[in-house]
Amino acid sequence: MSTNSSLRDSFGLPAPIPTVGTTRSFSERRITHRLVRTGPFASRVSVARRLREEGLTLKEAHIAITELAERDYTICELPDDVDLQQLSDDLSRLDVGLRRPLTQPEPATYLTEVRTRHNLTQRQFADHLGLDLRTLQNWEQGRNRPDPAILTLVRIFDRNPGLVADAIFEPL
Amino acid sequence: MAPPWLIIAFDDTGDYVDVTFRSGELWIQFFGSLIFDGRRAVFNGVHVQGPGANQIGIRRLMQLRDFVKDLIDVDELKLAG
Repeated sequence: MSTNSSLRDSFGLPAPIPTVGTTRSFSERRITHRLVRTGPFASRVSVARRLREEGLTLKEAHIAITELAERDYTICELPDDVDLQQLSDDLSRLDVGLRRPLTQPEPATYLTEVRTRHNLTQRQFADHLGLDLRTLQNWEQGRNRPDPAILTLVRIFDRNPGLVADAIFEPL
Repeated sequence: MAPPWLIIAFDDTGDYVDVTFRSGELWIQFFGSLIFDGRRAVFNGVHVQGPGANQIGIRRLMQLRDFVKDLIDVDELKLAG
């Protein structure tokens, strides 16, 4: 199969045709967001067009609505200068919820807070998370900063400690 | 006599095309990847949006198919996915 280099030519568009999408320029910095399907999702092309207006390419918009249709959620990167509230309101009317990344807490405080909430010593907490005790102490005392993925692990532990244990320990 | 189909909005990048057709009060949007293979065109991963289930009817859809085949000059037009 061959790829046609100009679909516009192929369609032989004779007169000025309104072009969907946007000519607005966007920040090059992009932030990962999660879109979740919240209803029948009948207006999926409208969702794609709305995402186009916020700087996604046609291919990115296509992947987004295809994943939303097939598995109810997608991860996509949006420019950091998007009016998120407006986009969220618009997508909400099209059966799509917009989820932004959680604001990362200050690691040392957060780790201590979660540990004490679960009544664990540092040793116990390290064992529950499959971590080295010294590493955990360095994080809690602010000598080093954990990778953001560790904070995600701790957030999961905080909500469901058993889930993390199941991921770390296996039956004999 | 049904009014002819017209393209009223169009967007394309590479293989991807987002196109809206209109005929009188009827409209329909297609969004997917259009690949040409000789005189055959396959529209892959197509998302379709229209005025509602069974609003357009098979006869008008066949008219639209013929309109697009003439427009892009192919003998066969296949929608996939």
